[in-house]
Amino acid sequence: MSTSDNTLTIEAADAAAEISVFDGGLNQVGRGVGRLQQALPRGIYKVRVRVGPSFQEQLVSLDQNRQIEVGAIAFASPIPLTGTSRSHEYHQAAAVDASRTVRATFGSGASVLVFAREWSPAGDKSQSNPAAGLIFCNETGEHSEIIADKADTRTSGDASAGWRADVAPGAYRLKLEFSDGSGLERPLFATPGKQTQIFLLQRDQVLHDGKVERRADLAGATVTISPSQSFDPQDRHVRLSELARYALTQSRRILSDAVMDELLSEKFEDPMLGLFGAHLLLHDNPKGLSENPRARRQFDIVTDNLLRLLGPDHPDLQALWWWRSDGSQIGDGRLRSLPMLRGSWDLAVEKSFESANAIALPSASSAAVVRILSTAPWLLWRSVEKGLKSVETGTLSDALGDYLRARTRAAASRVSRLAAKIGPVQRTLSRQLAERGSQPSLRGEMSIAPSLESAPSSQAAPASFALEHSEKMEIARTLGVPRLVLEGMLRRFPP
Amino acid sequence: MALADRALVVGINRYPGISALSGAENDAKDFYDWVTDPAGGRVRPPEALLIRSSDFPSPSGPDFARPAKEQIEQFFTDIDNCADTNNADGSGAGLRAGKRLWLFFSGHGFAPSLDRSGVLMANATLKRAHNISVMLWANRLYEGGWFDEVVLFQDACRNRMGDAELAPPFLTPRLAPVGQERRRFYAFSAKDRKLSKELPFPNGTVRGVFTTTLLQGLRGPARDPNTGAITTAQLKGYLQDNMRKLLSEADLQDDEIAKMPEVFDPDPFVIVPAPPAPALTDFPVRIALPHAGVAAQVENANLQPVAAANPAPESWTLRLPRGLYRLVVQGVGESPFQVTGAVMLDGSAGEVNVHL
Repeated sequence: MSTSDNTLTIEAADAAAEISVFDGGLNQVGRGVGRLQQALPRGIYKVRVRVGPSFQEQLVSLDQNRQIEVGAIAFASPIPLTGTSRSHEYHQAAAVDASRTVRATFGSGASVLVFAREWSPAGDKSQSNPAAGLIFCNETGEHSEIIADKADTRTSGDASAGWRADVAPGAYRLKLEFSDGSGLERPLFATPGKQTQIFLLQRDQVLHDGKVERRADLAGATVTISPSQSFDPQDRHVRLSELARYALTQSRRILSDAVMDELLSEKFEDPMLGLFGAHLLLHDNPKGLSENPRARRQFDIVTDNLLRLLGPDHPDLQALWWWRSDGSQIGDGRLRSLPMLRGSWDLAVEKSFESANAIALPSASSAAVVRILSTAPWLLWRSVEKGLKSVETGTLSDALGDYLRARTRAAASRVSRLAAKIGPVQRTLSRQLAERGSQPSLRGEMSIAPSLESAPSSQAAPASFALEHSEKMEIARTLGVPRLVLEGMLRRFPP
Repeated sequence: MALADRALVVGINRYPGISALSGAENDAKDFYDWVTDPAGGRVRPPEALLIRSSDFPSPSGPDFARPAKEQIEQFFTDIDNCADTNNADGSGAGLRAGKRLWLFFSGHGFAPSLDRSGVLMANATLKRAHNISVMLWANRLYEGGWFDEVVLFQDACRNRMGDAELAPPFLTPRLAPVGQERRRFYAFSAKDRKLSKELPFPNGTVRGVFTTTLLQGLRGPARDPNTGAITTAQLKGYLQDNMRKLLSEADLQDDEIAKMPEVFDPDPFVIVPAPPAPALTDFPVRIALPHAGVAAQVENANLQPVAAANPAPESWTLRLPRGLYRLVVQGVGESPFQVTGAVMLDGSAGEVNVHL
């Protein structure tokens, strides 16, 4: 610090707030998460504090030491938390009531809350039931409940529908059906002694026939796990968990010491925050935790905490456990139900290349595996449409076919280029050898701009060569299918 | 032999199986014009490929609409072939296809997360969302060292589309040679399933907010006030400051509409070098003083005076380059302000209003 420097201190109310400081040239000169203290030359600076997708900016004259406190910044969330931009107090009250009132019983030992709601700036969207099309069912689909029929539906202001079921711990699904028979599904895992809560906002959704239907946004719905089996709109851990969710999907780094303290603390009690934190540790260390001993230790502590909170059967924890450093095992070490997070599923897909038996899903879930969508951070798949007998209609196979055809075209292009080169070379070589025996050189040029009409038809023959292991892994990761499923799909494309 | 820069510029308005857009092709043409301009992106026209849906015959149905994936993928195949050629010609280029690759895509798309976003092709339907994952492609070409620099701009998500299946790039992954210095800069118009906005211009055309702001910045206002170069940091800052300047108050209040781009900029570098004699654009500033006759001065970011008036008029106007400033009014107070370099839809420089 030079004698002409002043100290800028910024304290954000959110531990996961990303703080940036820009100098007069508008270049970033400081960065912190939650808190920043920095000595800077006298001058004017811009401070940007980003909380999830929202941000606040202010200009600071640093002609003396300055301390800035930034309060909680509102951001949009499906959870009607205090201090978020899409929350009404009456939604908070409705969610609290719904979380405490049992409306269906499928067993005991755990509970599930589904809370769907409208939101509008004027607070007057009450025309339809926000739970329309939502169906809760067990993993096999044998026991199901149409939520709109039993929910506590409130239509004063922006409508809401809350529904709690007491259930046996284990794997369940939340389905969303559209009027054209199509649908989407997500897994929900009921943790012993806790309430798994899913919050959904409404969204206009385009159906296959072009019709727009306003339904719950299942892909964007957020899950929390409440140890008290009730909803608390003030819960700051849930707020932090929402910010961690955002960081995970947008590749943002928010794991400050303060956030890590929350995750590593003895008082740690928010399982979703722990799951997101563990994924963020993996995400922030793309070369592997083995190269970062500190992160490895933190990962082990977080997963230990999660084991205490979630038990050994939770699929998201199982997927994370494979990445611990101690080689230990929980349960039988296999994934027996679909995890809630897409990141967990990606870990399982990766594991399937190491151990084909790592994934042992019941047959009802196996059908879902070929219909997974490219979503984040939650795992989501298309339902089998009503009236269709086969589950092999998933477009994952089509996507794989497109990939193989493109690869074949690229290979064919390379072969034809080589042939075009080798032909004259061979002729020249033959002639030269015949005349003098000299060695020709290979030179060539090309223009990058291809003819728009030169692309071969999409009906070109699929792959005619084997895929390498790394390529299979990449395809599996991108499509979201385990190794055995991918190999089964590949067998349908003739060599 | 110096390696060339390349550009792939794609704009799709015609989506017979979904819904048409109005501004995507305008954006693509504008970007193509800039990227091939010797005073802009400086890509030689033979090395730049512009693909628009209107370049193809009207399709008889959604399945026949173009461009489809094949037309885009052909570009990547050609790049790979070009790298092979360069490798074989003994020039020392190795398996590089060029120095910098510019990728620009505008159209429908989806973006549940940064690395799972896609741009829909013209033959996409509501049942089968044919798409290209442009970021996966950019990563592939960066990681494999096909180019030293990869610059990606994606102005998609202009309508509510469901999420869809992605396919990985078909070029076999490879690692860039040790020692090849590589950099990348990606900017996306929307993130987290937000919507990108298109706007009608005074001349009756429609353009995307992201691309309009991007090109405004690239044409000069995003230059570093100190060096005159447009760096990754400056362009990012310009987009973050100014995208929202083109939105209406209603759009600003709607948290489903993207107001800030998502930028991935792990490697700082110069996108457009400073011209030999960089002339910084200045912008109008209107300062409202509490009353006439006070002594006022404007200081730059280093707290050095750049303008002063004593007595100052009640409404004091001046012009300043992009940057941070402070208004100091003797005996009254002070107020920092920013000149963001915003340019309005009609091309005029955005006025900055300053109050104490």
